[in-house]
Amino acid sequence: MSRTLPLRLRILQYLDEHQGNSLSPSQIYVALEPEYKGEGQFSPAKMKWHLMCIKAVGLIEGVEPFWDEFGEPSYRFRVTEAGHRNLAYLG
Amino acid sequence: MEDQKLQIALDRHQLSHAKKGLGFALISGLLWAASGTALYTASLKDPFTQASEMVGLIIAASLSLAMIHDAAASILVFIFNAINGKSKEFFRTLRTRPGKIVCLGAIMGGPVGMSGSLLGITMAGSTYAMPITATYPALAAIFSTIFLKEKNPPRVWVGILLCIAGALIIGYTPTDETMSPNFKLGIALSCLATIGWATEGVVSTYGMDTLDPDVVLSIRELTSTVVFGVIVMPIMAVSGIMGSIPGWDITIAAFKTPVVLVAALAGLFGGTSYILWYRALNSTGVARAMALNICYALWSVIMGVLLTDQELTRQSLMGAATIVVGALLVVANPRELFSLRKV
Repeated sequence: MSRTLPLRLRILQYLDEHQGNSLSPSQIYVALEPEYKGEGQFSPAKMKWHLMCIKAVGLIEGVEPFWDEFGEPSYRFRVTEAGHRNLAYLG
Repeated sequence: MEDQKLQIALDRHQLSHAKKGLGFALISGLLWAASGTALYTASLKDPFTQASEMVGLIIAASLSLAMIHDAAASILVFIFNAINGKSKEFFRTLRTRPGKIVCLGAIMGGPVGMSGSLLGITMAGSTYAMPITATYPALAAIFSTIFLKEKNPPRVWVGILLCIAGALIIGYTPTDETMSPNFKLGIALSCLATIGWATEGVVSTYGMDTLDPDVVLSIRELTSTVVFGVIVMPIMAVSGIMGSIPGWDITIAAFKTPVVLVAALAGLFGGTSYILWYRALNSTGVARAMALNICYALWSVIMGVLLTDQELTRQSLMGAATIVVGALLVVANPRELFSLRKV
């Protein structure tokens, strides 16, 4: 059984596994829920915060803006070349 | 029309994220000043009293204080993370490569930075050592531009330099002391401390690209405490730098007096300051976070005037004004924080 990764690293890895596709915060949240369910750091709102932080350092990018199910503005996210490169080194 | 409304809402959302990061950095400076004030108060009491002229005692007391400070901060951050549901993340993070990189940053910032700074002040005198170590934000900004490809426009560079200049003006004390025989070594150790702190900022920020800042900080404080207690203090004692006074004796003596509570309080302020600072490093970048953190010199002046009998001098007013202008230049355009790096 593989070890659970730190959440932000796992988010990056998950987006990297779906290269070419952009995913919404709620799609990522639902996909990772079995691994992190019940942890205080893991909620729909905190998922957006984690994604904004990873986006600011250029490892992922925000594309296709949309209004999410809570009426909040949001991006869909996809991994950048820098994110892919870093993951190969860090993962 | 709908697209435009969405874009404006997204901009506002990102702007609030960026402003939060800048706020974290500013408040971290305020709490760092509070921590420094508490550490200073503790250093004036037994067994930390530095009234003695004996260099070994001063070093032993300072290192002992630094270790208690980091240990208290470490406990605070660990509890904070447990409350926020990040305990499992701590062990997961330690197993990863970025987690191990963060440990290296902790050693550079804690034992190397702090010991180098204390020894530098002792050997070269604060008049020469402090201006050297105060330049760490500039060195960190250079490192972050080179290694992290951080985007820092000229305005931010001017702001960083003004913040450093302000801190130097506030802290400068002319001296007519003769140079100690270890003067050159003291200068070299001050340079090492500057490199240590700057490296910590860049290395930890790199780790935080894929790790939670609060968890990274927990690793930083724990690593620092352990290395201080198990490696630095015994080496200092064996090398004879601390004379015949092992730092552990002072630490144990401190735990038998109420002064340990003051040192622990300093650690609590310091730990909270670090939580905010690490979050700021992650969300505003190394250069801005460090420039705003060094504003602690400004907060120290304000606290000194309000809480102690320190007088407001023309020198500290000038320094404070320089820092305010520098900080304003650093935070002037939060939109720059939407994308921190050239990647």
